[in-house]
Amino acid sequence: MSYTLKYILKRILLMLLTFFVIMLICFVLVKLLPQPESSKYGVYAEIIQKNRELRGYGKPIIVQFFMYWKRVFFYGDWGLGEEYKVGSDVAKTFLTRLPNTMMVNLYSILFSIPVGILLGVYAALKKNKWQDHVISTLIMVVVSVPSFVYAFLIQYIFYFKLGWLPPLMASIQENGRFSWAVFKSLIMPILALSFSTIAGFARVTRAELTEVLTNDFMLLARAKGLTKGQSIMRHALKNCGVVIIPSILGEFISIMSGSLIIENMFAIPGVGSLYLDSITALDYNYFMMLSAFYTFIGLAAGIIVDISYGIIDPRIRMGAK
Amino acid sequence: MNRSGKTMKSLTALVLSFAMFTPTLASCGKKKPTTETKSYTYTDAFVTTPNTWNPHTYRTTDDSYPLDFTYSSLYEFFFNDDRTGYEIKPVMAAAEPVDVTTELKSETKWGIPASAEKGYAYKISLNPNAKWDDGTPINADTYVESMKLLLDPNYANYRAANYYSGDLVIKNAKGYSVSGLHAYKTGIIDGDSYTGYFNMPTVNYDPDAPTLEYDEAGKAWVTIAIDDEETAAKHDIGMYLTDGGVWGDALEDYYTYSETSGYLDCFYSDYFVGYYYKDDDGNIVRLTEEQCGSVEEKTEDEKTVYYYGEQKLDGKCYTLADDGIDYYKELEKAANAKGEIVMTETLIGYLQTIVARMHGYEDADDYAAAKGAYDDLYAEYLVEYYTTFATNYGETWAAAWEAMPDTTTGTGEDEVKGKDAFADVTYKIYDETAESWTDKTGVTSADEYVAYKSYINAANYADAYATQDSQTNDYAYVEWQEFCYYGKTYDTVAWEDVGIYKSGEYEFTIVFEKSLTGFYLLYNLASPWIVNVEEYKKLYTQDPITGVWNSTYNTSVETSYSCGPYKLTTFEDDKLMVFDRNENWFGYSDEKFEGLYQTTTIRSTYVPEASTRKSMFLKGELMTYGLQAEDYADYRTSDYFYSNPGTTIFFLVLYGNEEQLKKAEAKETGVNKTILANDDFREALSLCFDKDAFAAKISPARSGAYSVIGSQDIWNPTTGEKYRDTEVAKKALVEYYGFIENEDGTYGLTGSTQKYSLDQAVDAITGYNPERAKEKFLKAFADWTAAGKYNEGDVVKIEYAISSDSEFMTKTINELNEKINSVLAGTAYEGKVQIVKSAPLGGDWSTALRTGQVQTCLCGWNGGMLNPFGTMMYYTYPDYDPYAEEWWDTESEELTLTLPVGTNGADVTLTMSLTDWTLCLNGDAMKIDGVEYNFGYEQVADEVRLTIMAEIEKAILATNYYIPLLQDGSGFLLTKKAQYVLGPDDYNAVLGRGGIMYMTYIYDDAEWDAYVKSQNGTINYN
Repeated sequence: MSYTLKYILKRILLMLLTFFVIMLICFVLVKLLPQPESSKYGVYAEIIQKNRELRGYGKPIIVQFFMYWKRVFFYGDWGLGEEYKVGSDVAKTFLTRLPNTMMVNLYSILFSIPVGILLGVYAALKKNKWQDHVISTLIMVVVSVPSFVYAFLIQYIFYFKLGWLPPLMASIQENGRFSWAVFKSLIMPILALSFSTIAGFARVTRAELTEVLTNDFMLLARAKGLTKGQSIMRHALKNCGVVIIPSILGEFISIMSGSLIIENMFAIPGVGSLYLDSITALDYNYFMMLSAFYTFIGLAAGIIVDISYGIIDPRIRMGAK
Repeated sequence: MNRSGKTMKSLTALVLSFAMFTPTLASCGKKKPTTETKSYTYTDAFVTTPNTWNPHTYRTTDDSYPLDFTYSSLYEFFFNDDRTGYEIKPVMAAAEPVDVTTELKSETKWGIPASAEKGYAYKISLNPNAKWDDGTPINADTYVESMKLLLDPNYANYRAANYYSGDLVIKNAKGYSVSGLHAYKTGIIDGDSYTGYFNMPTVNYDPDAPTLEYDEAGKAWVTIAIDDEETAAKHDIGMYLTDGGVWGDALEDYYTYSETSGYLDCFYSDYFVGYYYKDDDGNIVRLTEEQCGSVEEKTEDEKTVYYYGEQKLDGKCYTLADDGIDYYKELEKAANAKGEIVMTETLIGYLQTIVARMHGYEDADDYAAAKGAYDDLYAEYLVEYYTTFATNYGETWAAAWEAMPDTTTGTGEDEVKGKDAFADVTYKIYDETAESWTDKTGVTSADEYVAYKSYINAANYADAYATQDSQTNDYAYVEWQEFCYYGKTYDTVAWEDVGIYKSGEYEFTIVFEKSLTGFYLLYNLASPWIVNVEEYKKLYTQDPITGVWNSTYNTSVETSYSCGPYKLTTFEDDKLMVFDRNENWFGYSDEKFEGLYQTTTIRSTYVPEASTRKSMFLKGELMTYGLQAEDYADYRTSDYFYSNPGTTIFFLVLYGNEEQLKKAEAKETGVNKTILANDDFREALSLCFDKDAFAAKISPARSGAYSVIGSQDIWNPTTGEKYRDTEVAKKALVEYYGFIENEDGTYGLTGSTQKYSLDQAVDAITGYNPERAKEKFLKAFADWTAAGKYNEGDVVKIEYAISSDSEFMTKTINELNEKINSVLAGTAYEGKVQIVKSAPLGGDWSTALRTGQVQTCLCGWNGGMLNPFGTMMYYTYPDYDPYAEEWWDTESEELTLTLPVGTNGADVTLTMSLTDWTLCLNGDAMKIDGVEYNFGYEQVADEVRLTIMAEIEKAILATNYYIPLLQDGSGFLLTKKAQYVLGPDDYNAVLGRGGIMYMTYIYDDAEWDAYVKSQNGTINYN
């Protein structure tokens, strides 16, 4: 077995271990909270009671933990909503919501990656000139301010003051998922979600490219007769890719995670708002599933980014001596 | 080009093509709809998507939102002609109900009282034009079959109780809804008062009590009459690991998986001497009696687990497992999905052993051998009980007892009771101890002591047990019963015996268990229960995981059926609901609705953020906006501002049980809490707040509250007259706030010469009287200091119960503190009264308040708008769990009133407890001096009822256990696009301002769009 494969397997096993430790902590904390009597659920009382029994309700917490994951792995059963969307199938609701989150985040990434990289390249090329200072300052501002702040600003300007864009995501049922009405209604959340990504990519690209541009091989490329543009595209950017492309991969993985605040603000029925609402409603089953989801996405993104370094640049291989 | 370069190019191409593709796709826009008729769209917002709007199962007001538009009722409220009040008209019904009580009286199965002349049975004719939106006719079958589905015992519908509890009780509806079901305890249906504890004392003290039997399968049975059974019947026995029954704590709570601590977790009994305490190392340590006191404290403060045992545990705990059998696990295995464990001979044996080991014995035999028979142990308990009793009530009983001869002599008036006379009544007295202990009425303390003393005299009780097997009576063998309940299988009730049946194609008959007439009859029939029966049955599905059946009726557009003015046409979870006109609704061609329901479409959008709702309202995209606290300053004076007064009264509950307060204050040094039990202190607190100013600062949407009954409650639902507008209610209010009636009928305040009319006095009330408050505070502190209950310098720390922390809580508590301490400024007690937040208590806040763990909270009751008489029950009727129940005994507090209820209206002076007055006011007959009185609805003159109500209200207010502070309310802006039938200054407590039904439009949709554009897209509502 190659070192790389061993490394990947090791990382995956560590990821699973971390995942279950986090889940155990969440589970224990949740179980320490009072569980409402099932009788309060009226017509759902029996269904909820039986679902609880399937998960070892009343047994020691550790037993419940294993029974919970047994239901998940063998039956795909994440339980029913008890305080939020009472009686609803948690997994089904989640899967209904996931495409909305993915859609808005995909648009956001497709918009922010090229813009971020272009800004970074431009800033690097104009290093220490006013253009660079403006871009760098903007990046600092955007990185420092939470996304919901400029989400409010965007909504205020583009909806309330200018009236150019609708305030909320349009109905998919009425308009279709890939309709202009839906796309237009998503422009503001896309912008709100994109700012920090753009800033991140611009910062990384600028830093990497600034360094690469000072390397000797760049001078050699120009000496060989390549134009400035050619040398940047063929040599400088390629070298920056070692850092940028893993970041892009990481961003793509996290498109499913959505944004808790942005989804709520623009009424996007995605998993982010679902997580927020379930926490507000103290719904343990929704909370567990969404915590598992977010934890998994976070850990998986980390592994993929790490592994991608070795794939993108063969000089970076883990474990080889 | 190398590989990386290709990747970059491909990626760039993908990004660009996608970015271009999406808008291109989207540009295939829709054609603009062309319509000649004008459209009037009502745009609304929601923040919680309904889960189900099935009329049989919906739970919340969010759930019922679609029903508001898609259902019509048998009878509905309309404004009267001049719109000063309301009237109820038949809608889905064809006419008013026809009373057929006398016709049906002869049919014995309905059980209509022979004396009844009206109110028990009605024929209701139906509107033949009514149909579902798919065209299916709605007839008598629809109503009867829908009710059958609603009450079906297999479906346990949430709304079934609406038809067998409260005012509207359909004959045998409750019986049918539990028909054939089996249960071991309360909870099978809401509101079921039956609790079938396997009451050990009943079995063992009563010589006639049956013994336990086992059938061939080993299942345990007892033949006994329980609940409302007239004759003894066989009952099986069940238990729950999660419910301790008479024992108290659940068996599950004792069970832990710790090998070192075994299963003796948290066991405590207050009548046995000796505690075992688990130290930090997990060792079991027996404590001396002196140490026990500190353990009790420690247990309360630090939730330390401690142990009890009758004999030394020798440093180890008992296990519940023998020879591979874990008794607890065996019980657990026997539990069904509901957690019920059906007791068998084997399981009873296991439970006996568990109980014995919890006492520190090997098994029941060992337990019995060590402690002897039940009788001895119980006698031991009674001796201690006595001692406590004598300590608490050691007045004259000893002398009385000593003076009493041993035997009774004489008869009748010449009878001289001896000690022997009490033997026969001891059991009865014991059984009633709980009641007689606190109120000290009926059975005197001396009687009680004597009775107990007599009871534990073996010579007196030996006969009662002589006939019973001594083994059966051994405590060790029967104590397990405390965990158990009698089983009960509800009688089967045939549908034909339920009081609703078809009496014509478009007519059904409804029979009630208790009389229901006039306004309340029509009002209660206003809630719809009908479903599209055939479709409803088709939509029953079995849950794939649990196998439980449930209906998906009214959970989506496809499964929704309308019989009202609108039908659901779009439903998208957390996004959108659209309701279009239901063209099959008869109302559009019914003259009753002429000019009503101008709205053509209702479009309700999910908008979770208040700031977005506000923006959308100002942009003309929503028609109302519920103001947030920060909006009031800008919009309170707007022409488009509407205020809706609510009915809930929020009052500050002040805990008043001195004993519990003493325990609570002992936890901290330099803190006093008992002063809350001082009447002057509570009165002082009540006078610290200007109610309206308090509301304006804390919660601008609300207004100040001055009594436990608010300004919107209607005492006469037929006319809509409000209780607070009556003279007796006004008098009650002004008297509470210190006004004194002068001889000339005017009112004045002590120390002031100003005279007020009754209305002026009411208007002058603010609730704030700092001088009197200071005076009362100082008196309370002085009295408490003199009594040694307050030490100079102590802080009165009042813990305020919060379920979760919030800005509102912080503002409220800060304001309360500020006002209280502004009154105390300049006195020695300035800053010495502090209200502090509790830890977040979640759903336990109410229990914490009732038990004195916290001492105050802003609480409220609602739902009594049309029956304030009923609201009184929440203050004075213990079964309704009033907040102050634990420290204010309304069953003992007497109220004497002189009322014109004698023959020919003669005045009669009556004395009853506050509880009885309230019950009587709500229709319960009370017998005084052989005369039965009932002051319920339509039973006596309205003035009598109002007088009683006002006197009860005064009694409640006088305690200052409830300090009214806020009356609920909300404020909102209404669009310029439409208008309500009532203006901002008018409000009807029942119809509000008419809602969608009465809404008329100033602009149609097209005109409105043009208007918004003309305003540059933003409308000014200031």
